[in-house]
Amino acid sequence: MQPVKDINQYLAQHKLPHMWCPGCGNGLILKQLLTGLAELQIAREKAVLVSGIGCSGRAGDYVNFHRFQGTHGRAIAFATGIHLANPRLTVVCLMGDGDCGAIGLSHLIHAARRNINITAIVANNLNYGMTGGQYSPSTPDASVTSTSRPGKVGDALDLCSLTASAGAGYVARSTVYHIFEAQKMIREALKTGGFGLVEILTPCPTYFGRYNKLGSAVDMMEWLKKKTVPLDRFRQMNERQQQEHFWRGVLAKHDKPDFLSRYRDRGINQ
Amino acid sequence: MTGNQFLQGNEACTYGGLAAGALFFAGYPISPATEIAELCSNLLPAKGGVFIQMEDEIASIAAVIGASLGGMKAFTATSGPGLSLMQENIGLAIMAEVPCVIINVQRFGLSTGIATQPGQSDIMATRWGTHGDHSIIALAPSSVQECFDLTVEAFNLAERFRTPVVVLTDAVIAHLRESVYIPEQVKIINRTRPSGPVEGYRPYAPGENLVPVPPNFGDEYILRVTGLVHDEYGYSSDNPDVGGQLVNRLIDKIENYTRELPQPEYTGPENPDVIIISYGISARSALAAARRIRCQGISLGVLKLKTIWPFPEQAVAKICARAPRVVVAEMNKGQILREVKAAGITRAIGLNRTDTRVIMPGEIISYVKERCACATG
Ligand SMILES: Cc1ncc(C[n+]2csc(CCOP(=O)(O)OP(=O)(O)O)c2C)c(N)n1
Ligand code: SF4
Repeated sequence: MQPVKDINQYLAQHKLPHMWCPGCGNGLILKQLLTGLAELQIAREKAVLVSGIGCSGRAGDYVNFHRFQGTHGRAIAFATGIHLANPRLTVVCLMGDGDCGAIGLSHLIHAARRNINITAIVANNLNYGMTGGQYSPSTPDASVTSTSRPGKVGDALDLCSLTASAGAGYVARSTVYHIFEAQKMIREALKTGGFGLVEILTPCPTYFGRYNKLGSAVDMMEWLKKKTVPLDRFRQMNERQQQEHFWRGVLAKHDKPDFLSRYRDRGINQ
Repeated sequence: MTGNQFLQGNEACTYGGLAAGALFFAGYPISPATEIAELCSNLLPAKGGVFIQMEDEIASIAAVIGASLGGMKAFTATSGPGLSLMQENIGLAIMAEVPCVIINVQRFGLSTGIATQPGQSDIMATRWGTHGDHSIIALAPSSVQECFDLTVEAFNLAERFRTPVVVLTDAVIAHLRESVYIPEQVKIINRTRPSGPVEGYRPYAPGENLVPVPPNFGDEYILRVTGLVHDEYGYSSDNPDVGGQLVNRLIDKIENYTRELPQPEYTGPENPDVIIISYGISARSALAAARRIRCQGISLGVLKLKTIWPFPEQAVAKICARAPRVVVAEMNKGQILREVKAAGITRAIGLNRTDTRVIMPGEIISYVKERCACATG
């Protein structure tokens, strides 16, 4: 393993300090991604960060390697083209839960179905940060947001289950509280030959935390710790308990050939 | 495939794309553009290229933009409803200066219209469909040969100007079969690649002709691409000066060099009684009308547009000065007529159809006789 300080090669130091609020988890997520790249010794010019539109998407401003920021929700579709044109690149999508789970949901499912060899990291802060704390598909039922003052109506979307059932090679979820676990998952996803998704629950003290009276940024970290349970324990919970918790762990992990390898095989066999 | 071929317009566009060096196609099936996707799916694998049928048109143009930045020449093909879905990302490709080609086979109507029937009513959607101030390049073939030639040209212009280029065909041209000559080799322009020191390199620093020289993803030079207003390094910026200069440069890099775009073609006498301005399938009818009307003592000149956007107003104004009467024949309610008038030819009148029926030569002749009578004595 390389020393962690190696992540500096991927950082646009002169762009710091970043624009994220104090206590926001986005910085930690970016750090884990850069650590993953450093540990796998991915050369600077061989990595591309495709980010979404939202607070987490601004991560692209702080990296010192190839980056692409397109339109809201389409990160995975852009990344699909980048990867297919140059499969030697390590293509990573970093998206918010709104970007990936609302406007971009179909791209997520289809990239997972095709098993496109890219890595998707979802910073799930349970709401839309950039536009001022509205509810997202993954906002838990009854949570208060700027567009659900009396409490959100409807259950949260589980991006991981959807992606796993669509056929992704690797699917896992953790939180910024369990940062070393998240780090390991990112590394696994980067190493996966097909589509890898890591969802990381992250505090947004400015909106989700404030609206739901979850206290300070530190309190929100405690909240994440309390609210999340390992997948096997989650599965033993009754439905009511499950509603009040998030699972974390590895949901899918299998080695099957990615889209481009299969496409090329077909082409040759013709 | 080279030499003389008997092809459909859609096939000619596909072969044109491949001849220009396209290796990537992403699309979503829609009539009357589908054959382009089908043919690409057959031809691209053997060339080491990739065809992918995406989940919708938004994803298709997104994948095309990604592939272009990854280093492949890339295109998609669609029709009205698909063009509408692509608009936000076309704006992104303009902003991020990503070369790519969109073949839009125009069909009748707004919304789903009549799916298989022709129209020429995406002229303004092509120009102004995406939000924000911008310029765009659009070419309109009026024969199967031009489907080939102008698709090659579209790729060359996309690479030269680093911008998306739209090829506007229509359902008739797309499905028409005509003989086409495909040369062994076509003139190909490839995007300029960076040179010089890697450190401190600015992918969006304007080079020659205001066009920057960004690398591809994977090159040693770091490429930062964003749809946000960005400085020359590619970092996002909310500085009004940076925003203003960027948008103005994006417009000027095309509008200042319109002489490099395919020029309108004039056929007819030096000083005709009437000039018909037309494009696409309607221009074919205008040319037939001009041949037939000659024996009836009226002289008709035809000005066939190849570049639709930026509208070639100077060339059009210059040629129209030769005739007392100007008619713009198009299968819409007067979308190019507005441009002709804006170019100072306020006497121009429109011959418009918007019911899927092609404007026929006979219709043009009657119209000229009726409406332009005083000029023709
Ligand atoms: C087509 C389109 N619709 C809406 C927006 C406005 N918008 C910007 S960011 C955003 C949501 C961001 O939420 P999320 O993806 O969860 O990221 P976060 O800011 O929470 O990190 C929206 C709706 C947009 N940029 N484009
Ligand atoms: S609004 Fe929320 S997600 Fe956005 S930077 Fe602030 S804390 Fe982070």
